[in-house]
Amino acid sequence: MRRRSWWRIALGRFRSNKLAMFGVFLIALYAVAAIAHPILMATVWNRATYDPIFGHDDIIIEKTVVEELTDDATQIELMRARMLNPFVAVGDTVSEVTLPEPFTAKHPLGVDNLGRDVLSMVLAASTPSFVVGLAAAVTTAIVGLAVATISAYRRGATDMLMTEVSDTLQLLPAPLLMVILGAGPFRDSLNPLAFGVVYGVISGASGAAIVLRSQALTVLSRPFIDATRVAGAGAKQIILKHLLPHLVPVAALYMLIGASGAIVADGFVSFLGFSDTRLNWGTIIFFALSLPPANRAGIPWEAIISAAMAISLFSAAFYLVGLGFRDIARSTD
Amino acid sequence: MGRFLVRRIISSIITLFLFATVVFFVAKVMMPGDFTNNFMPGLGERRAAMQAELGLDRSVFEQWWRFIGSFVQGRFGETTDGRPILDLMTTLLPWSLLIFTLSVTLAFLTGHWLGKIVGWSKSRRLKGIIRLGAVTTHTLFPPFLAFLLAIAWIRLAGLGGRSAMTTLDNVDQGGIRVGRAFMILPANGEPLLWQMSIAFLVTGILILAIQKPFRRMFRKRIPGWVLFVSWVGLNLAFWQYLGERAKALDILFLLSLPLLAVAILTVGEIILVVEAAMDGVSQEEYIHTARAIGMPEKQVRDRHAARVALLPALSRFVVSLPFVLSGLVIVEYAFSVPTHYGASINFPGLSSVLFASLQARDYPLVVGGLLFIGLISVGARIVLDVLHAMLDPRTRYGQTDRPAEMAI
Repeated sequence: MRRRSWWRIALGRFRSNKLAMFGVFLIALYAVAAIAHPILMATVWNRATYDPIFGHDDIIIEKTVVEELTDDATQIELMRARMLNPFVAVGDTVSEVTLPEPFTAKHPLGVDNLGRDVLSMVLAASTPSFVVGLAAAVTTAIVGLAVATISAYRRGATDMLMTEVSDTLQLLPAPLLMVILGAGPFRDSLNPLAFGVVYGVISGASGAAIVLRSQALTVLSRPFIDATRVAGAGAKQIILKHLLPHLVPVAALYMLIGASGAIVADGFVSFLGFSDTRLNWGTIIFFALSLPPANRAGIPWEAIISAAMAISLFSAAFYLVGLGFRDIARSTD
Repeated sequence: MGRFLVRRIISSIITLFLFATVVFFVAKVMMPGDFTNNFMPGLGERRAAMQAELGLDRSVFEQWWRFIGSFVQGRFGETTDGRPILDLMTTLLPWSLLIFTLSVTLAFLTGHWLGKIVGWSKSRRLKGIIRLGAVTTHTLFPPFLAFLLAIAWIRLAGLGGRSAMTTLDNVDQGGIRVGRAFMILPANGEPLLWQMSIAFLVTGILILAIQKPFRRMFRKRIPGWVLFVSWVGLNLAFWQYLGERAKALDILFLLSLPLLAVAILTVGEIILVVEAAMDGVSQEEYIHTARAIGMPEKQVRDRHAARVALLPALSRFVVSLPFVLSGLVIVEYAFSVPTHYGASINFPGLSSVLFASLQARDYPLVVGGLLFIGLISVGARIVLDVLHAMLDPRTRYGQTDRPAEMAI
């Protein structure tokens, strides 16, 4: 009988975890969105209306100026008409500009205060967010694993030094540091990739490294490590063959936590206007809140909620997958 | 315990030293050139004289050493218009500190309670729902949450479109220029805030301390809600005694929004960790023993399982502390982002300094703000470590060297 490999068991456990699979589904959905946007722009959507940054759409209605309003759709009161054009008199026609309604075939999620299509903006923003998330995830895992294995394996002075550095970096909240970097002279070079990498280095060397190191220490204190040592295995073999496989699930958890943190931080930095990413879910919310509402009563909820949901769901997807890895780490340990 | 505390404090001092170094170099990188670049572009000689006066002509290493030296002496420098940063920070710190402690306590209590119920129940559906809810609150976009809360608060309280902060005459002094940053600040410190914070702490400790002798004398526990009500009552009585009850309530009213927001953003993670820990604990031998000797199920859960499940939550919190802190700063600021819908609340806290100074490029103030955030972080770490050591003797005797051990 063939023994089932560790990876098989882990994959089976992961598949049976409904929430983790939901996370994978969400990530796939965002990937589709990121791919779909350029295709839609090239085929169905025309640039003037649907461009996520410069697009614009509005509805112009010709209305007759009257004293007393009897029909709301075709008539406008004199006082309101004078605000559009001070020289009109009763009987003239004026054109009133309004923004398109949401939940129509043309604008499924409506438009923001500038008349830009929200769906197009949300879809377009998923590409930079993917870059940020993936860059942060990969960097967190690499840096965290490297710092943790070196300090747990070497012990002694190296360990003490690295632990202190991790502790120090932990005092420096990564999202806040990103805001500060975005406000400084690096504003122009803080593209999504650089953002993800810097965030990943900080979160990998602080939180992830601390937890991974303690995990590595427990693994290294187990009898089978001594057994391999007695059998003549070198440092390279112990680390690569015996230590790292035990750290992978925990590293995956922290990698995904890092990714979800980076996405929220990126949204926040661009929400504050401190990042060079012009297209971002954070900026959608920022513009929805800060631009003067053009001919719109009330709050542009469709723009705010779509963008906020996009951020939350995207980072939640990474987090859910991470929880799936945590369960694997627990059960196969 | 004493030795443990000494060890922790020494290591914190080393961490703070390294942190100050990191902040120094971040500031160096952030502003190429130096302070004199700002306002003396062409004046060669006078600029050189000014650089010499400020010690900016020396080597980087020497500057760094002087920076550390002044940090140790508690000199945080001045803003660009000559206000001492230390004064400013001590004025604003209690606001942030009060929100931080109250919201974290709130999040811990509710998170632990929910997590223990969910972790103990057998229903898969309940687990799924709570897990999903916890992940949702954990990953909520802070400015969005802040906006929602502010809108709801204004609508519910019927405060119309304007800022709701006018109830506090001391805070509503209009804008004050701090350095080059323009922000809303209380003109002078709010002494009531310090008194309130200390009263919260002292009454809390008092009430927790009463529990043990009470149990010894009457062989009975005081229910949690009685403790809570008496804590609230004691604080109300204290404000009444000071004759500042109305003002204290106003302050709490103002605090309630960011407090709620930070608690919502923090509670999800605690629920998740406690829930997972309860799951693991439920298979332990001593739980079976407790059931076998006929202990009521609720007692098994609350006294034997939930207490052990508190430890991983604490350790995890140590790891995620910087995120809670930056969440606090972000939330505080998110409330004051100007909107067209009347939902912006100018909140005097650390974040108002940090962001206003960032926007005004007042770097001494940015550095001061960062150092204070580091100080809070270190303080909170020590408190958490002591709590952890009180709950888990292994930490005290150095068997596991750090509380982060179990924080998966």
